[in-house]
This record gives sequence, C-alpha cells and structure tokens, in this order.
Amino acid sequence: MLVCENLTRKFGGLSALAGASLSVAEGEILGLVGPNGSGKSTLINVISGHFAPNVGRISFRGRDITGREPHWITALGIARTYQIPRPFHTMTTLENVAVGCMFGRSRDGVARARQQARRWLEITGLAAYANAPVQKLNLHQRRFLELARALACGADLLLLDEVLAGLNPTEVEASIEMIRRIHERGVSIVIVEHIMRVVVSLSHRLVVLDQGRVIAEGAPQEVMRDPTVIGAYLGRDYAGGH
Amino acid sequence: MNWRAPLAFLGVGLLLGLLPWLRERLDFPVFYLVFLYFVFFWAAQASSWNMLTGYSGYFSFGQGAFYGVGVYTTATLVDKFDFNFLASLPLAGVTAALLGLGVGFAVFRLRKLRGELFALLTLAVALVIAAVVRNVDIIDGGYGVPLGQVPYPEFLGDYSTMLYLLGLTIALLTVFVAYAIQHSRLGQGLFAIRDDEAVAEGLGVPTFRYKMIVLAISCFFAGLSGGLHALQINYVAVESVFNIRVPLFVILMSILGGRRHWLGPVIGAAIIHTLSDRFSSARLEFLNQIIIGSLLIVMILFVREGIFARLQRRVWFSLALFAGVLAVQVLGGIGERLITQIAIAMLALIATLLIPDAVYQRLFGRARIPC
Amino acid sequence: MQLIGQALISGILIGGLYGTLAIGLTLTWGMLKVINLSHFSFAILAGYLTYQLSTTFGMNPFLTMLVTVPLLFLAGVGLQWFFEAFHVDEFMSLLVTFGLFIILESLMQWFWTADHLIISRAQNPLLGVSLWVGPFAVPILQLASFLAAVLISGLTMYLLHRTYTGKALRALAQDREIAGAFGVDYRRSALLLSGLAAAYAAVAGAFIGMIYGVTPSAAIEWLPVIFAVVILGGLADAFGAFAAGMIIGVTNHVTSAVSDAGMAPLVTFVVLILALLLKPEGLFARRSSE
Repeated sequence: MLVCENLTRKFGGLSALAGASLSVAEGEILGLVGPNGSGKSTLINVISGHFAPNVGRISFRGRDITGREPHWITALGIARTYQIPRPFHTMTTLENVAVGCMFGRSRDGVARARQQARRWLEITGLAAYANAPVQKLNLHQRRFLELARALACGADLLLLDEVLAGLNPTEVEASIEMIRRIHERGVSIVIVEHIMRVVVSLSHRLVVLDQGRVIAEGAPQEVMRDPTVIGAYLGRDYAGGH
Repeated sequence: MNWRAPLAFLGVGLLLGLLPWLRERLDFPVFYLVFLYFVFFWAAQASSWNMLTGYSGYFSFGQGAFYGVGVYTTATLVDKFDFNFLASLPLAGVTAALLGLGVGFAVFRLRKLRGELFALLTLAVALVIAAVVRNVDIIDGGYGVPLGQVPYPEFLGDYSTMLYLLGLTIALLTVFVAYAIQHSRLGQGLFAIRDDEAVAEGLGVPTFRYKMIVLAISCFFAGLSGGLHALQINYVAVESVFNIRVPLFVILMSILGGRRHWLGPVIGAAIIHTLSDRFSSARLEFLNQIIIGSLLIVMILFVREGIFARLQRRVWFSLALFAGVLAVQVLGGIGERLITQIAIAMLALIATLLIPDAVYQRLFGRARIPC
Repeated sequence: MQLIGQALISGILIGGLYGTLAIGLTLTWGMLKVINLSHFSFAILAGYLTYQLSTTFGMNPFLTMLVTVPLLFLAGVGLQWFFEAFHVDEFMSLLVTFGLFIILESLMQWFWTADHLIISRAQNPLLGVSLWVGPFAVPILQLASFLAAVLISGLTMYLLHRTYTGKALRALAQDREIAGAFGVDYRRSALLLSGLAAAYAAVAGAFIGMIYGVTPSAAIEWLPVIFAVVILGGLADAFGAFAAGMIIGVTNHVTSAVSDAGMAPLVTFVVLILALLLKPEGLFARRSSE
C-alpha cells in the first residue's frame, strides 16, 4: 500500500532521516518505534507531505507521492493526527470534523458535511459535544476529535503520531479500543508510540527507527528481543518492561 | 445558503433604494443621501478587506493599494481616454484584482510567510503603487486628475442620487458576497486556514487556491468601490488617495465590528463613519484621530472578538439601550440633528458593550446565546 | 561622476541616521517580539521637543538630548510595562502601537500645528554648514548624526555581546522558557531594552529635528524606509541595522542623482519587497532559518 524508499531529510546539518525504507501492507497495523530523536515524527511529516524528502521516493498504491502537496496526498487517502492535538480553535467540534468531510475524499457541501460529521462524532463518542467550542474538550477528547477529523477525510491509511501520550490508563484502554474499531472498518494504520506494551499488542508488524534509519522490522515480539534494538534504546526505555 | 438570504438582501436594497424618492416627497436635506453614501462606501471597503484578513487571517495593510488602483483606473480611463464612467467601474475592480493576484502569486508561494511579514509586504506594495502613480504621467504624474466635468449616467437621477444608488448597489454586492463566502465551503476552508493552515492543508484544504480566490474577490470589490468613489472625490490626487485613511479605517471598522462575521465590518463602518462625521462637523477633527486610535487600542485589548459578537450575546439589552437613548434625545429635543443623536446613542451602546461578560452576567443574568 | 560621489557620501551619512532609528525598532521586534509602530512617533516627538527647547529656551540643540533621551527612555519603559501588563502578543502589539501612533500624530498636530518646524540658524548655527573634502561636501550635522550612529551601534553590540544583560536578552529572544529556567530575569531586561530603544529614537529624533525639521506626518514618512532597513538588516541585529541603513541610504541617494527624486522611494520599496520575499531573515543573518 505504502512504500518508502531510502528517505533522507536534513534540517540544517542534521539528518532527521538517513535512508529510511519501509512499507505498509493493505489492512495492517504497523507500529513505528524508536528512541527519542530517531526520526519518527519526521517520517510522518514526510509521508503526509508536510516536508519533501531530500532523497528517496514514496509511493502510495503505486502512485508516486514524493514531495507532493499535503492536500493532494489527503485526497489520495492518507490522513494524520498530531501528537499535541491541533483543533481549529474558533470552530465547534462538529465544524472541525465537517472540515474533514468537506475537503477530504468526499468533498461534501457545507450542509451535507455537517450531517456526515455527526456520524463520525457518534463513532468516536463525541456526539454530545457537537456544538461545544473545542476549548471545552479535554486532552483525551481532543485526541478523539483528531481521529474523527482524520476519518472524515475518508482516509484509507491513518498515521497516528503518539495518540496515547499523556493519557491515564482508562483513556489509554478506550483509545486502543477505538483504534481497533477503526481498523476493523478497513483502515490501515501506522502507529507511532512510546508505550511499548500497547504497540506490541496492537501492531501486526513493528518497525524500529534509530538515527533516521530502520534498524529492525518484523513481528513485534521478535523485534523487541533483537539485541540491536535493545542496544539502540540502551536498555533505558524498554528494560522496564511496562 | 438558501434562497431566503438573497431575497433579504434584495429587500434591504429596495428599501434603501427608495430613500432618494422619499427625500423628494418629504423634502429632507440631501446631506442624508451623502452621509449614507459614505456609510455604503466604507461598508464596501471594510467588508472587502475583512473577506481577506478576517476570514483567512492574513493581515493586509495594503487596502490603500487596491482601493487606489480602483480610483485611478476609473479616473485615468474617464479623463484621459474618454471612457464611459459606468463601464469603467468593473474595469477598476478587475485591475485591482489583477494587482492582488500578482501580489498573492509572489507571496503565497512562500511556505513560511509569517503573518507580520505579509502585513508589511502589503504596506510596501501600497507605497510602491503610490510612488508609481505619482511618477507616471499618463496616470497622474503628480498633477492630479480632475473629474469635475465627467459625464455620468443621468438615468439614475441627479448627481447625489446617482452616487447614492451606485454606492448602495456596490455595498450590497460586496456584503452579500461576504455573507455568501462565510456560509460556503470556501469560507469554512478559509476559517480553517486562519486557525491552523498546516492542519487545514493536511485535511485537504487547497490553501493556495483559496487564498488567491479570496484575495482576488477582496481586491475586486475594493477597486470597484474605489472606482465609484473617484467621482465623489472629484479632484483625484495621490496625497488624498494613498494616505493612511482608507487602510486605517477599514482595519478599525472591522476590528470594532468583528472580523468573524460578515455583519461586523458593516456595523463598524456605520459606527465609525457616524462618529467621524460628527467630530468633523463639530470641528473636532483632531479628536477624531485620537478617539479612533484609542478605540482601536481598547478594542484590541478588551473586546478582541468585536462588537457584533458581544451584541449577539446581549441582543435585547443592546437594542433597548440604543432605542432608549435615541428616544430620550428625540423626544426631549436634545441635540439638533438626527445623526448627532444617533451618534450619541452609538457611543452609549459601545460604552455598555465594553462591560466584561462576567460583570454583565451578574447584573443581568445569563446572556442570550444566539441560535 | 562627481554627482555619484556626492550621492555616495550623502547616502552613507544619512544611512547612519537610518541605522540609529532602525536599531531601536529591530531590537524590540527581534528580542521582545513587539512591533512598535509608535517608535517613529517617539522619534518625531523628540524632534519636536528639540525644536521647542532650542527655540523657547535657547538651549543648544545637542544639549537638548540631555532632556529628551531620559524622557523617552522612560516612555519606552512605560510602553513595555504596558505590554507586559496586558499580555500583548506580537500581533496585537502591531495594532496597539498603530493606535498609539495615530494618537500621538494627532496630539503633535494639535500642539504644534501642521506647519513644518525647523530650528532657526540662530539656535542651530551648524545648519547647512559643510566640511569640504576635495570637491565633495560633507554636511557637519549629518556627519555628527553618522558618528552618533557609529557610537550607538558599537555600544549596542558591546551591550548585547559582552554584558550579562545583553547575553541574557539574546538567550531570551531564542528561547524564553529555557532562559527563564536559568534564572534570567525577563521583565527587568525587557523594560531596559525598550527604554534603550526609545532613547535611541530620541537621539535620531533630535538629529531629524536639527537637519530636516519636523511635521506631524514626518513619522509616517520615515516608516517605510526604516522598515526596509530593519528587514534588510535582520531582526535584533544591531550591526545589520547599521549596515542596511547605509545600503539603503546609498541606494536612495544614488537613484535620486541618476534619475529623478520621485524614483528613490520606489526603489527603496522594491528593495523592501524583494528582501521580504527572498531573505526575510535579513541579509546579515548568521543563524540558519527554521
């Protein structure tokens, strides 16, 4: 479905990505992990079109999307969420999701978009907050708003950038449940996450980044036992086991 | 957007269009026609500015450029090339729109253009245009363009009536387009761009295209309204056209009235022009600028969302207050002119709108939430 | 040829004045994230005060700076205090100072009328007097303003790079929270910087009053040129402001000499637009942009 070949992206003198290659198959949940600064967020930004890679190619369902504009990539069916939620702060919850309906793959008119948005709000459990200004939502709800908005775009591939950070255990469970349900609807997912046990249990496959390069990939349990991977983390994060 | 909206606008237009006819019947001074013409002019200018700045968040200091281009397009065509006045108006709009598109093409292509830089850039464009106009003899060359002997369409009535009716039409068109945009996909896309352009792009909003579209529309109306205004100015000169007045006033009117809603600039225009006119007539011109500057500061600091948004929460109270203060003056015979009485009522209204929501709610209970 | 040579000299000299006026603006914009349009009003106000003190009290125009500089320093401190008290962000500051700008313009007009006021030769004997270096005239007042500019730039660069307060401010400009964590007192430094910027405006204003005279609309006449200097020189860059001032001064004067005077502002603004589009971080920026 998605193929990234040899992606390199530099900022100033720093290489955030240094020849990273990976692929996502239709219908799978791919976990993307790695120590801080390994380039996970940059990879998401490059795939979604926010940055163009200096070197390398990305193709989605056979089409070359390298360096294309974000809204063009969204039209093909890729959507992303942000680690720190970025709702449209002058709009209500419903209006936020409606933007996705209007400009994603369905391109609805205003009235129809507002109708469709209600559906997405119901799916993510935010229907009660439809007319509330987004300031009233807490972090967990804002994350779900991000999900609803990304789904409203008609995404077939969802890039989740640390959706669980800062949530309490109950909220984490609810989020995992939501992600599973989204996947059951037929959406492929790339999930960037630090909470190991979640990523390991959710993902079909795991890819480990370190210093902008893929150092391991495969079935979650095996990858996490790989000495190279443990070395990359210097035993710090994962040794705790969670 | 349903069919009711265009009808409502048409209705308002017809009602206001009757005023000149009414004036002949009831014989009140032509001053009122001229006064209202100016309110229409400012409503058009402020609305056109707000379409770009208020809706998209790209703050423009360049209204003077687009307005000025409109004025000079008409002035040059009519004076130097014997063009028909009415026909020159749409051309004035188109010229301004082309300028806007040129600026937009150069500017919006840049990924990381910060808001403040866009503001300064538009200011610089306005200054360049002024300098060009001053130096190019065909347009102005520093001599000015006299429009006193220009033939104007007589079928609309006498001079003041013609200006009034054309001004009304242009203002109605501009404000209606502002309304239409607000309720359309374009509007929602622009609001998204205003709130978070990167996220908007990620959701599929064609940001470059939308910004160019709204820029072109905004400039078109600025130029169109400017073209008509050339006739009002009569003797068109660089100093009077490209000074700070137009860019300053449209900013203030929109900030005062509110930038999120199409009615904001209209309300702002009505209020500012009324106050400004009254200060001028009372020979308190310098007070004019001081009050306006202070108002700008106060609004930015205390009422960021503008009068209209607050008004929406205190509808009945505000209407009652305005009507009450006006009635007291009219019935009590205070003040000579109706306009002055209205101005006083407006000031009273603004004063009460400055009361913070917290205090208001304690005094008057829950504020009305609009549907 | 001589015309161009003269234009070069005049351009460099006025460039110094541009730099003086620009340094205050570039510092507050770059370091305090405040776009202070009333900076120009402060300068012209100082010009008016210089005029008034010389004309009414017979004070030597140079000495009037002993009054105007501290006065405007306080005004600068007051302004920044106001911004802090009302949590004014970068964008709001543009509009708020815009409001202040028009208020001050109005007050100046009301107080001093719209007439062009210039200090008489009796009080200002150096007016129009020039040194002659070969065939070229070097007006003394302009030379003095240039030397003042050199002093001010030098002083500012020293303050910013050699003193603790200066380094603290530069750190704060880069990352406020981290700097704060290191115990850098933002408030005091910010107030001082704002006061300093206004003091520089006072110096510039005094020279403007001496050399060109003042009108209420003078503030807006200087605005575009100085903004061009600030952008070209890069934010918070004292040396940049000084250098850009001279570049623009020279461009202006050479254009006037070569074609006609009306084209000069046009060239300046086109330069400004190009600078904004091509290198918004300034010609002399050393750090790479984000």
